[in-house]
Amino acid sequence: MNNRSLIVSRVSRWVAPLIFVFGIYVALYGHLSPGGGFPGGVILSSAFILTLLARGRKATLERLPFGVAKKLDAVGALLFLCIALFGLVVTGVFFANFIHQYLPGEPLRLFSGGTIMPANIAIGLKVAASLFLVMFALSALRISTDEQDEPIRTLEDK
Amino acid sequence: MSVLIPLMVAVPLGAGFVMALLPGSSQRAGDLLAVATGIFVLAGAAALSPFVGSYAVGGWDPPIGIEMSRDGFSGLVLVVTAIVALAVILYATASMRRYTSRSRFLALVILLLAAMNGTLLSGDIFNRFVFVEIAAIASYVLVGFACGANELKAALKYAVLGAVASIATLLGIALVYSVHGTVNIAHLGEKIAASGPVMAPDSVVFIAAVLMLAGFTFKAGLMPLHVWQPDALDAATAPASAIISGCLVQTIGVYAMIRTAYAVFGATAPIGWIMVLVGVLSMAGGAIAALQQDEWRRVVAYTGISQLGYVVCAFGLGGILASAGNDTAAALAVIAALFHLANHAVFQSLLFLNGGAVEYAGGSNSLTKLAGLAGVLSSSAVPPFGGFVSKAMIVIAFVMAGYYGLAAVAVAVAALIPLAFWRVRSRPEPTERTPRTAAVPAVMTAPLAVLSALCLAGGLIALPALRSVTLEPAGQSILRYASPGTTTEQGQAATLIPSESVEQEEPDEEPD
Repeated sequence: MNNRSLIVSRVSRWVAPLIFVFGIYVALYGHLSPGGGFPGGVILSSAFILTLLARGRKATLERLPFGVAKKLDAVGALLFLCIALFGLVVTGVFFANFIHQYLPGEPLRLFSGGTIMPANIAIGLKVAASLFLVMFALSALRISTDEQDEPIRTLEDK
Repeated sequence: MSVLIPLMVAVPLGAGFVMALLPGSSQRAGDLLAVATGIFVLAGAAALSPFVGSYAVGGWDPPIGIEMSRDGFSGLVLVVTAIVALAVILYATASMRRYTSRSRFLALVILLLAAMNGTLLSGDIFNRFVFVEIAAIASYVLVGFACGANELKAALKYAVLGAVASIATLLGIALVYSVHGTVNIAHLGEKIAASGPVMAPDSVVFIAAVLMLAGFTFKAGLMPLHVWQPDALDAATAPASAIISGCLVQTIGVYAMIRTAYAVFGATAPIGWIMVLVGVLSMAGGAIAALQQDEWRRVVAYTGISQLGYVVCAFGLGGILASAGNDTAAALAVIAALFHLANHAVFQSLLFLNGGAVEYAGGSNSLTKLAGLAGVLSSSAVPPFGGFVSKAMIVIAFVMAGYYGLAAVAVAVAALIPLAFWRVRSRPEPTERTPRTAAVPAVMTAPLAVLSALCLAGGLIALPALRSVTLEPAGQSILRYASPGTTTEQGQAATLIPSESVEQEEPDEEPD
């Protein structure tokens, strides 16, 4: 993008990692505080969406390549399914909390709640990757309304 | 046995995401995985058929935890869906070779199958809504899969209108939840029945019922809210149209609508009349619109709307009759509707797949001619075919109930459908789509042959021996919830048809 502001681009370099860490926090502490895998994943992807808006596609793809995001998307979903199936294998009930039975953990600490934290991590990965992909696809198909701009932006940013 | 219930959703879901991970070069592995999943789902649906009961997901018991349940109705639709889905998957492994990524197409079909199984087996209305949404989103992508201008336009229309319909359904669920504080279907049904039959047009629950029925009417593509369906079915690739018209509109539309109307709201007379109204409108409107179409696929799409109109009309009448205490006529109407639902799945998918095979080959051959004929004859209710037997049963149910006007409309409309097909008799060959000629591979013709045989043999389900294991348990599991309008103060979903078998077969869910 040719009309990119230096201030926005600089500030986003500093803010995006903070958003990223906050997203990890929201996903990890989903079983203890408001939040969870889905909001955490949305916040995680918003770090990349900020980079995308402020610094363009090329800078974003350096941090999260397209293929990696696609794989993370499927891996997150499969991870979630695996947690459910492990419950079936270990205790005989689909989605049973099989970790909690053996490692109860301390209530109100990070390592408590059994499978809920791994499930939140899986959902966070899935949501972050798929929202990023949606946003990226929209940016690739964006038709510029600016008359001077090139009419249709291609996938490779200039 | 009951552990198969969650696996019916988990296995296709997992297979779909594994297929998304496959590199573009291993299309062959994708084919195998998709076909294996289709076979697993069909085998699972068949193996589950003696099982009636529920599964507590995660070991949490129903009113609080998530419940999945299978009874006669969901079991019947599960088997029909699995048969059609397997036929579509087999067909698509060959026909989608002309597109760049057929494993992605198959992954979407498998995800759609997982979501449809989830819709059928889910025991609470919110989870059912989630599965309906998964299925709907997969179908938006399937419609737009070929990425041409027509496909994208139809998919966008479908997606935007579908989002509005979903909001209506979700609002209905939220209203019901705000009044009764539960989303478990069995629990909610009891609570709503205890608070008196859903009658008054100004009650919140009635508004919720109308909102949810409207949402499902859209998903079923029925008449006032059908606009997405002919465009989507016309634009999508043949296997996508077949699975949407043959499975999707039935599971996330009609099944979800009937389950909501009966099991949640007790199918009282006002709800029954709404369904009859939608049904008659679709029945007559679909056939009249089909007469004005010049394209094969649009005729098939509009006649499909008309056929589902019969189904929903008979289901609505079943609710009205049950609430009036006329049990035998209600049972006949519901069984006839279920029967036509099953036949509709077979002939609609056959007609779309066959049209696709003709396009693929650039002209018809003797097999596609025969298969097309079987589909058309079943759809136009010509005697030995399944479509005739079930449609005749619906008309008989109307007459037995004393609704002669409805019966007259049903018979008149049945005569319009063959006319619509006759008008486009030489047109399943739009050669401009694929100008080249090619031999149709056996993987594509085998599903056509099987579906044609099912069209012809579909009428046999009406025989007492087969009816008692397929349609009757399904009918009982629906009518179990219908409340006789005036006498429901006891606070329980009244049992109209003696259904001890359904009641006592529910086993204790003890995980081993």
